[in-house]
Formats: sequence, C-alpha cells, structure tokens
Amino acid sequence: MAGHCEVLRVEEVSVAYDGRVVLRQVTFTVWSGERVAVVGPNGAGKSTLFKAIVGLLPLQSGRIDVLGCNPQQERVSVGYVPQREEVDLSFPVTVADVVMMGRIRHIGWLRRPSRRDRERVRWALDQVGLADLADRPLKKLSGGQIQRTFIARALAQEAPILLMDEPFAGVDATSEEAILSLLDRLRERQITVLLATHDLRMATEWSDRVLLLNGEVVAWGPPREALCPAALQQVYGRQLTLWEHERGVWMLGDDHCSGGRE
Amino acid sequence: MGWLLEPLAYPFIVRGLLAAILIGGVCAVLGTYVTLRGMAFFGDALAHAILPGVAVAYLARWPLSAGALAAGILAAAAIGYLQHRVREDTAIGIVFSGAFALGVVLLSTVRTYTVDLAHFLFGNVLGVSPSDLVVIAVLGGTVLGVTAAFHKELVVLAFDPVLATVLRLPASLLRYLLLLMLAVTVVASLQVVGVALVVAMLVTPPATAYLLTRRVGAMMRLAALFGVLSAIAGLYLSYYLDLPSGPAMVLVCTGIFLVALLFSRRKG
Repeated sequence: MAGHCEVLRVEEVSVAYDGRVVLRQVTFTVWSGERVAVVGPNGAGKSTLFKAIVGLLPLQSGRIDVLGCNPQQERVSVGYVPQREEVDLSFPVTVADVVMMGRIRHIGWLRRPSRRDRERVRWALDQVGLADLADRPLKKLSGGQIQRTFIARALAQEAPILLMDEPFAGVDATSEEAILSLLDRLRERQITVLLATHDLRMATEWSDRVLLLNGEVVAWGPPREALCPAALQQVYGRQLTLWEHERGVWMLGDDHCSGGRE
Repeated sequence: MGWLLEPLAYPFIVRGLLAAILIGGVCAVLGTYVTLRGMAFFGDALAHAILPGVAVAYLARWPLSAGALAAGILAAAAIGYLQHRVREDTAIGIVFSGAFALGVVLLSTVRTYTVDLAHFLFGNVLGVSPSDLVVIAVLGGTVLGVTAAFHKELVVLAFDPVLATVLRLPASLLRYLLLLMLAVTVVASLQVVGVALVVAMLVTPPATAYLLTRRVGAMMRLAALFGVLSAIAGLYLSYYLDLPSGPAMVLVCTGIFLVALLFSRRKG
C-alpha cells in the first residue's frame, strides 16, 4: 500500500516539443510505494511526461520535485527504463556491464567499481532473474530480457522511483509475467513505479492510481474512478466502445495504437 | 633478426618508429569512442579542417601544432553552430571542404608547394625531429590520460546519452572533452599519417577489434594492439619497399581488418 511520504510532486507543468505544446498544466503527487499507470492514446504526452521528470526535456512552466523519503539520501535519482527501440543493441556490452552503468554516480569520478558496487549489480541481476546471463552480450538477448536488464540497471541505481515507458511492448508472455511479479517485490521495498501503457485492462488491474492523459490531465485517481466511461469517451471518443456492467466497465477498442511510439 | 635491426641504425628512423607507435596506439584508443558514437565522418572532417591552421602556422613560422589545434577547435565550433541551421552531416561537409580548400590555397603561395602539401596530407614520419617527438608524446600522453580518467563516463555517454542525463552527468562537458581530445589526436597525427589518412588510424583498428570482441575494454586493448602493429609493420614496409610510410601503415590496418572480417564471419 502507499507509504507516508511524497516522492514525486508535479506542479502545473507545461512542456513544449518542437514549438508545439505537448503537455499543459499537469499537476499530480505520488506517494512512496504507489503504482501509477499513465494511460492515454498515442501522442497524449506519456513519454514526454517521463522525459520531463527525468530532466531530458526542459519545462516551459511549472516545477517537478523528485523527493526521497530519506532526507539523508545524497542524490535522489529516478530510474528510467527506456522504450526498447531507444537502445543501441550493437554496442559491445554485456548484461552486467549495462547494470553497472547504473552505479556510475555511486562509484564516483576517477574511481573503479568497489566490491559493494559489484555486489549490488549481482543483487539487481538476481532480482530480475538474469544472474545466469550476466556475461551475455546485449545483442544476444530477447526483448523481455532486454527490458529486465534495464530494470536491473534502475535497481542497481538504488532509485526510489522507477519510470517505465511501455515495458510490455514486444515482450513475450513469460517476460511480462516475470516483470509483473518483480514489480510486486519492488512494492515491498517501497519503490514507486510509474508505468506508461496504452493497455487499459492492465492499468485497471495493476495500478493503485491512474493518470489519464491527453495533452492535459483528464482524470487522476483510483483506476475505477479515473477510467470511468465519461473520461474514456472524452479521450478515446469513437475509438472505444463501452458497456457498463455491474462488475465494472467493458471496453472494446480498435487497438491500432499498440506497439506504436509517441 | 638482422632485417629488423638494420633500419634502427638511423636515428631518424628510430624517432619515426617511436612516433608511429605512439600515434597508432593513441588513435586506436580514441577511435574506439569515435566508432562507437558513429563520429567517423566528423573525425575525417576535423582532420581536413586543420589544414588552414597548419598552413598559416607554416607561413608565419609558428609551431605547426599550435596552428592546427586552433583551426581544429574553430572548425568544431563552426560545425556546432551550423548544425542548428542545416543538417549535421551537411554542416560537417560545408566546414570540412571550405576549410580544406582554404588550406590548399594558402599553401599554394609557397614555392615548395607540392612537397609540403603531400607531407601534410599523407604524413612525413621520417621527418620527425627530436622536438616533434616530444610534442607528439605530450599530446598523445594527454589524450591517453584524459580518456583513462573519464573512460566509464565516456562509455555511458556513448551507449546511452539518456542515462547520462538521468544521472545528471555533465553530458555536454564530456562531449566537448571528447571533441577536444579528437582535435588533439588529429594534430598529433599530422606528421605520422597526415590529415587525409588519420581517419583510417582512428576507425579501422577499432572496427577490426569490434569484430573480434564483446566488451568495450577488450575492444579498446585489441584496437591499440592492431594500431601499434600496423604502425610498425607499415614503417618497415615503407623502408624495404620504398613506399610512402603513412599510406603503408593504413594499408596494413586495412589488411588486418579484412582478415578479421573473414575470420569473424567463419566464426559466427
């Protein structure tokens, strides 16, 4: 369940991209250990929001605070799991090399990895079930194994917040299962996860709260409230057919956005 | 063994050999980042763009390295500015050809024009003076020292610029550092292989090593080995077969690459 401190505060944030405003006046606050699904159609600004949070895109206005629960924490950083297409698979690195990259600020300038850094990498690989593949080159991995490698890197980074951009795109069922059960274990460690997805079913079943996005915040709250028929109709319009049902809402979408990129 | 030692009786050959070994190694080490970041064209352009600086320094009897370094930094800045207005590869093409033409025109005012131009283009390793060798050693040592100090950060930047930003590494500072080291390497290589061929020493040994290794560290070490071997073998070939030394070194690099290509294809 959600913890008792704020870990991420987004206040009236607007972001422009190529001169076009992509996000308008976005405000929400996330608590430690919460699981948030960021939902919306292609071009809704899901990736843009994540890139703004990690500092890849400048804000046009507003502010974003990434706060740790522990005030003694030296550098509060966000773990960012990129979309798979953004990874250079031809690069000569092994799984363990990639995970060690998450330790670079812990290692520090002009230093080499310590025993603690190596232990942390091994632990992160254990968590995602890739310990046996530590020495395997990145280009020899399946889609799901690549995702798990980057999740392990974020774990090695010891970030209190994890941002995952469409982690299930192009991933087989076994890896999806593995990633979901890993996210369960992360919750026990009070790690907050924000997950961008276009899969409404997955958002409903998995998250504590849903941020329904379409250039601005359309709804923000528990899944059943945020994904109410009115809000969904507003975002998806005719792309989606809805039936209300005593156990919830049935949705039928022409899922032409699956696998797409923003 | 006699044939190995015979050329070493001449001090100018010993100096040339030392310079070639240094440059073969330094180019391969820095070239590893250049190939991994896809900067081969930029490296070639930067090398050609130092020619006007070399020419001005030559005409004014200033140290060549100073003129070359100034021109290299100026060219990198010009490309950086222009790429906001036109595509990056277009910007590189404009600056590179314009600067190169300016260098040729400047040099054409000298009476010994053709000989001088050939030396700047293809190197003149047997003309390395004791003071030249000191300059090459200092420049090369600087490049090796800086890359050793910032290796893991440079690798992260090359593999995943997004992670570099997320972790708040000073990404632009590291990028400029790499460009500066590239300019220093090109300047140091001027006498050994010349501006027209330095890109081969930067790119071919790392590309060869890439075919045979799986990790950046191993790739870099193997590239340095290939670079040094090519430099030595090229110089001996040039001594015994009376070939121009810079092109001979580059051809050895290319030969090793072709062998690796055949071998790695059979392997995998």
